[in-house]
Amino acid sequence: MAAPDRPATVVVADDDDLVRTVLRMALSSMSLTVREAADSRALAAAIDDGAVDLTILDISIPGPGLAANIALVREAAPDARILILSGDTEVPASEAPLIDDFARKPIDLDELRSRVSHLLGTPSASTP
Amino acid sequence: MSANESPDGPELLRIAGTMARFGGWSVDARTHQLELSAEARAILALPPSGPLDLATVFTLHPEEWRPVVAAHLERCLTAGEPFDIESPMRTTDGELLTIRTIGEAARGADGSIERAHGAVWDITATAEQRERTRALEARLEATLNTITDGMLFIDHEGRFTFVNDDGARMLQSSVESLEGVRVLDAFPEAAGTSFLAALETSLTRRERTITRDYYPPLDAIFEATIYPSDNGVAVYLKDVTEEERLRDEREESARRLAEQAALIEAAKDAMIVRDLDGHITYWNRAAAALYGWSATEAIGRAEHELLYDDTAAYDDAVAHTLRDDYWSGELDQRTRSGRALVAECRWQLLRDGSGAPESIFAVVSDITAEKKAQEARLRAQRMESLGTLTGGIAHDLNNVLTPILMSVQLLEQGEDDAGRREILKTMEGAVKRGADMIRQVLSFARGVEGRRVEVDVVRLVDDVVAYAQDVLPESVHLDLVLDTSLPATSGDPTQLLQILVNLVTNARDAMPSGGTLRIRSSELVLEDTYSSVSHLAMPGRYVAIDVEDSGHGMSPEVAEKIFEPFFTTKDIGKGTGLGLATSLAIVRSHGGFMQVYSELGRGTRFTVGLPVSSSPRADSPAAARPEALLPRGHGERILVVDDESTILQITCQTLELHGYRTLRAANGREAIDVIASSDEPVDLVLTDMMMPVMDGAALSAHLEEEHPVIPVIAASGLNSNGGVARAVGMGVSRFLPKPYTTSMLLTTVRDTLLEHRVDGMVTE
Repeated sequence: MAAPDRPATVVVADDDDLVRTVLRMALSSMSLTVREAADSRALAAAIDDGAVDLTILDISIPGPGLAANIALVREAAPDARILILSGDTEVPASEAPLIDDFARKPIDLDELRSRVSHLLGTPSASTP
Repeated sequence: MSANESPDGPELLRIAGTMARFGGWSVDARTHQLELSAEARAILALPPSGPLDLATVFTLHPEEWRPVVAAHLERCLTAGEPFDIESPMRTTDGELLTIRTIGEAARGADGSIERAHGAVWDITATAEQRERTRALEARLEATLNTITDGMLFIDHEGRFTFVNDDGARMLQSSVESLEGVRVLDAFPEAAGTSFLAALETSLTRRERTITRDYYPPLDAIFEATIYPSDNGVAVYLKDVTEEERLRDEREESARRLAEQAALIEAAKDAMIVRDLDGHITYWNRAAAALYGWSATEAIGRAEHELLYDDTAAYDDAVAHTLRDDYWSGELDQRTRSGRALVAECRWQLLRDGSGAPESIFAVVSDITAEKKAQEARLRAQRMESLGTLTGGIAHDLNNVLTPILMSVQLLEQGEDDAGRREILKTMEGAVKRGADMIRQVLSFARGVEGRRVEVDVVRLVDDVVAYAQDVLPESVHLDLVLDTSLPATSGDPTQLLQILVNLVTNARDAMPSGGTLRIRSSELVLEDTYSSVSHLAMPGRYVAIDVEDSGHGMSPEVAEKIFEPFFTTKDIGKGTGLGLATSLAIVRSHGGFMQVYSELGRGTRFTVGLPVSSSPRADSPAAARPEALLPRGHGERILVVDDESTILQITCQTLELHGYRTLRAANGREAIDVIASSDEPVDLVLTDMMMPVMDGAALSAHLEEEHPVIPVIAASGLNSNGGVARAVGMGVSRFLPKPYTTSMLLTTVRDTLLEHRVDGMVTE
């Protein structure tokens, strides 16, 4: 949930430049602050200050793997929601309980907006 | 002469001379006066008495003999040499006699020769006999020498007394070096042989013996027939080496042939011999078993008529065999029953004794099953690698489509121009269709690991029938031939239903102007390997489900490719070509098979064969039946409302997987917004009852007010607090207790939609 003193911040982690660009455009139009990360290292830097409300995570960015990336986000920004975007049809069963939402690429603008809005308006799955 | 008179010596001699026709003679050495006894005179028909002239008596000898006789007489008179000669003499009567004359000198007291005297015999009869014998001997010898076998005479001392030319040749010797020589001197190495033993027997016991044996010193096999005779034995010798060799060869080759024939007859491979005209001359038991023609039926028939549809490949193989003596390869053949088989052939050209081509010996193995299995394996491998490849590509394609789709949609938002909006909508539609295709590719590529539960095929088929009744237009007649006592199979009911639904859809699409769709279910027992275009089925029990249309049909070329990924007969844009490939992959993963039969212009029949599950069907009916019945949606839009995102996600995914489209809302307020902003009508709302902001009850009440055509399903974990009744009374069509199973969810959704549809029709 966005803190009152700043616009909600979304990290877009995807190794595909075009995907990141278009997601940034879509999210910016929702008056959100967008940070981009092309790999795990960039993701770690992007969430380092903990001031992140939502991470949109590609299922396979370069780095130690999806589970590690989720753990990374949860540690740096425990309140941040996680939306997995994937070109595949489903999220691996082992990671499904750890995330807040899942959407398939290509994603509709409307669907993205609706999911993002929903995620930013509800508490994190990691919150007990 | 009187009887009582005692005859003296000269008188006895006279009597003997008369009887034996011999007489005496003497010639005086000084006077050459000839005296002849009365017997001698009688032999020569001379006067019984009176003086004789030596010269006159000499003239009785033929002229050429006179000097010979005179010389003997002279040497006797002068040198005292005795003589004994035989000479011809003609009597005074003119009769030609053979006369033997012996003579010796008689000396006086002083030792001087007084006269020559001796005896004469008429030996004419003896001489003639002797002459005849000699002629006979000559003739015999000539005859013996013309015999190509050996004739050997051996006397009692073991000497060769006669050897004919061939006998000498056989013994690798000569007549001259053998005659008069003892057998053991000529052939010392013969000692101890069976021939010597036989010779011994014949000589001593005067028995005929026949001996056939190998004689090592001459490296020959002889047959000696030994006939005993007064003078020893006659040996009839035959060199039978060649005969023996031929006989051995004959026996050997006969034995070998018999062995080979037995082997060939008992061989597992079909073996066929046919002459150069192509007529079958030999056909073993395996050939009879393979082709269904007995040897009697096959022999004499033309091979190409009996076994081949296409003789071009056969003719090539024959030409090749004639050229190279050998050919091996595969040929398509046909059995008596019409079954096509792939034959692995090894052909050997056989030649006659002179080396001329005589026939072709063929060894044939039926590799139809291996071939089919190999093809199926290759096809599976191809599909698998294709799956891996397409899976990777599909994943990346989604990344490619994402920016396009969102960019288009972003552009649409700021666009007021209707024409441009339409262009962008077209682009958006195209991207979404691409995304749809990719989703199918991914489901194919990821494989078809489904669940394995007992599936009631009867109910599965019922479900397909229900679907068909739903989707078929009026112009298509539905014909059902169903076996209602089919055994169960084991598998994933959802996947199986998808396959059958897919087939029904294809069938419908194949009959745009109407026709008949037949669904037939039956039990099928495959005893032999079942050849199908798609897949090789193992022998066993199957339930078979046929979906048959009377539509446009396919050519064999098309039917052959119908199960390959990306092969489609539909117009571009109407199909992705993945349906049947995926279906086959699924059926195969169930251990089943798919088969297509199609006639261009007349229709197509697909058969899905599923193995009968080994466990008895009564095992788990409760678990199986609800699964088999999972109903599917047909693109209806369902709005799912739940504040728990995982439940929202799972519910939406489940619905999407079963043919629905979904919208999501986290609470009642959002739900109302979604409905308001949706450009397509919402067909059903599934809402949780307990939610923040606006709960399910409030939502359903609102919907009943504002959108009475939209049915509402209420889901809640609160089972016993009366909330349900309250909710149902407040515009809720059905209640879904939480937690719900996939089956419960889908059944409730379908029932609600059906009920509402009926209601809608009634009210209209």
